[in-house]
Amino acid sequence: MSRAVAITCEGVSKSFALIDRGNAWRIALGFDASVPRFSALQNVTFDVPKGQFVGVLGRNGAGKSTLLRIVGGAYAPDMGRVSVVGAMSALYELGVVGSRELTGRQYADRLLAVHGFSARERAEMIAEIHDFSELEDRFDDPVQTYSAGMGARLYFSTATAGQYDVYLLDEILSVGDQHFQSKCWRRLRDRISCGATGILVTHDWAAILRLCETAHILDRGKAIFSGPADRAVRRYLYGDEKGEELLDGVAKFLGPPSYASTMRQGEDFTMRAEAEILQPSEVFATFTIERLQPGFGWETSVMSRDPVLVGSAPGRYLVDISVPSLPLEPGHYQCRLGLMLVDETRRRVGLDGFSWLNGTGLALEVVGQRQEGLMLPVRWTLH
Amino acid sequence: MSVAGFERRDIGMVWSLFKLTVTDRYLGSSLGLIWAVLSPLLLMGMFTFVFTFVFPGRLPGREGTLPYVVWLLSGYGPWLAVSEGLSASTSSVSGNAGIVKNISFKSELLPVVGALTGVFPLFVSFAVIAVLFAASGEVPSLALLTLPIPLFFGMLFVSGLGLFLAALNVFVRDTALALPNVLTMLLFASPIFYPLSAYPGGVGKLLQFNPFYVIAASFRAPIIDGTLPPLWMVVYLAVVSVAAFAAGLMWFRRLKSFFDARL
Repeated sequence: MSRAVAITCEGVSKSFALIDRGNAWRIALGFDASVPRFSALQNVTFDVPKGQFVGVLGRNGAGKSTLLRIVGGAYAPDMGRVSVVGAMSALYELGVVGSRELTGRQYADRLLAVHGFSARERAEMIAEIHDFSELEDRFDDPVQTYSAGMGARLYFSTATAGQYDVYLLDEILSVGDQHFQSKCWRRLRDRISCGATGILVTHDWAAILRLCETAHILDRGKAIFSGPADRAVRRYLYGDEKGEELLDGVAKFLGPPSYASTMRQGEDFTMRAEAEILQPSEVFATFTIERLQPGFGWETSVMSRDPVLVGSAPGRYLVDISVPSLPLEPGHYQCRLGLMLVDETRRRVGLDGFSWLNGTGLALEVVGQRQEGLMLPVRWTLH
Repeated sequence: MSVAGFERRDIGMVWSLFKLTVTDRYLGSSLGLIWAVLSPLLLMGMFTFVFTFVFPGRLPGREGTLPYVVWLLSGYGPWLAVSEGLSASTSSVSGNAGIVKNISFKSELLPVVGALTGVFPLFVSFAVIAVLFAASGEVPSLALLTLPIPLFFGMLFVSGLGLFLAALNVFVRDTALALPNVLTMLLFASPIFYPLSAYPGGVGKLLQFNPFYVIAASFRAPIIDGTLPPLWMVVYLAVVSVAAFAAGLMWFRRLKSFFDARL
């Protein structure tokens, strides 16, 4: 099934000329080939299906805002093609347009006018913006007197006042208080459920998990990862290499653990792995089941409280995990199983493991009916 | 349909930007838009005073102060429109960095909008002239109906220069700083406060091709003499302004891709 695509970005590259006082004249006179350039984006390609928000993660200076401006049409790409289907509302960084002496009301009016709303539509929308932003009587004060959070409230309220087909949002959700943020989430979810599409650019990974199914990671102008939001967030947080430094030559797993990757809710869960200790030392194991879910965030569902001793003499050992009547609701989970040393300060040194961090995640799907309740407490063992 | 890369919806954008520019300029001042009327009035009053009482000017073949004042204002008004328009145009891109960076539109509209703000002093001078006409009981001639022609080409010419200067000013900020001096020099080098005949023969022949003079003269002819401006002037103005606009637009569009690195 092919889905309608609202935003297409194909092989987009963008570079900025590094202009200083010395070479500004050269550019003006047309000798621009000799001016050094900084490459901000290289060959970035992605689609946003209609009705989805896509996240773009990246550090400061990775090219996120540049990418958003190119999609929004404020910058022209050097190479590549961008197409956006439908009416678009864009909010870049903190979207100041024009003088900061404008009052909140004038700012809203101006932005709506630029988007082509008629005077009557604007009056209605401004009343709505006034209400949503909760600026109350400060709405008629100049924007320059606003705090960062108040500004963000105004900009967000204005940018999302209309029913647009496409929203481009840059960092906006990281400002503002909890109360307002939750209003923002509600509004964005509303818009998505009405079929809106968007790009959310941020270094706030939690925001991506809450809103996006898919995310891309930009690093120094290149898209280094595209995929499900939760995996993108992992990749963003822990990077390309293994998430933890593993100490070699002490102990290792002899093979992937055996377990049923699909099971019914409430059944007994068992997993067995064979480990070998190579050097005499106290080797411990831990086990975790996690779920990363858009809309909720990270959730550790089942976790061994303390590392459990596997053995201390060289030899082969069995690591058995059993969780009787698995207390998890239906869904997709990830298991982590690790071998480690624990020193006197309780610091853990990883030896080997299966985890998402190093790309050897153990997927687990629980099926069943959501309505069934669960009984706590549940005892479970790892030995 | 598009003309020179502009589309129909750009006209609406020009109007939005025009309102935006005008409100921004007077934002925070207590007199606000009154300044748009007040400052050309003050300037015209000053020059009228100087050239009628301090250094009384004479129009060849006309007696009296009133015709001289009308003559002065009918040339100075268009000049004010040109100089206001050019100043606004030149700083239109660098001064509106927020808009250029955050809104998707054709930034070449900004200098055009800057040029259009020149209509304020022009209309103020027309209003003063209308009052003077009414006071002296003169009947305006039908030739006044041709005024939109120099208005259009004048704006086109100023837009062309403005496109050039606005783009240059993004890279060389000295442009906007040097402009007021250049404008003052141009004003006194153009036969606006004095008739062309004040120059000795040869120089006058050359100076009549000064586009700033041509603009002022094509406004003056219908207002002062009730005649149409000479045909060569209209053709010359049309050619020069279309050429200036085309060249300015090409220059602007070439440099536009570098704006994002400078704003």
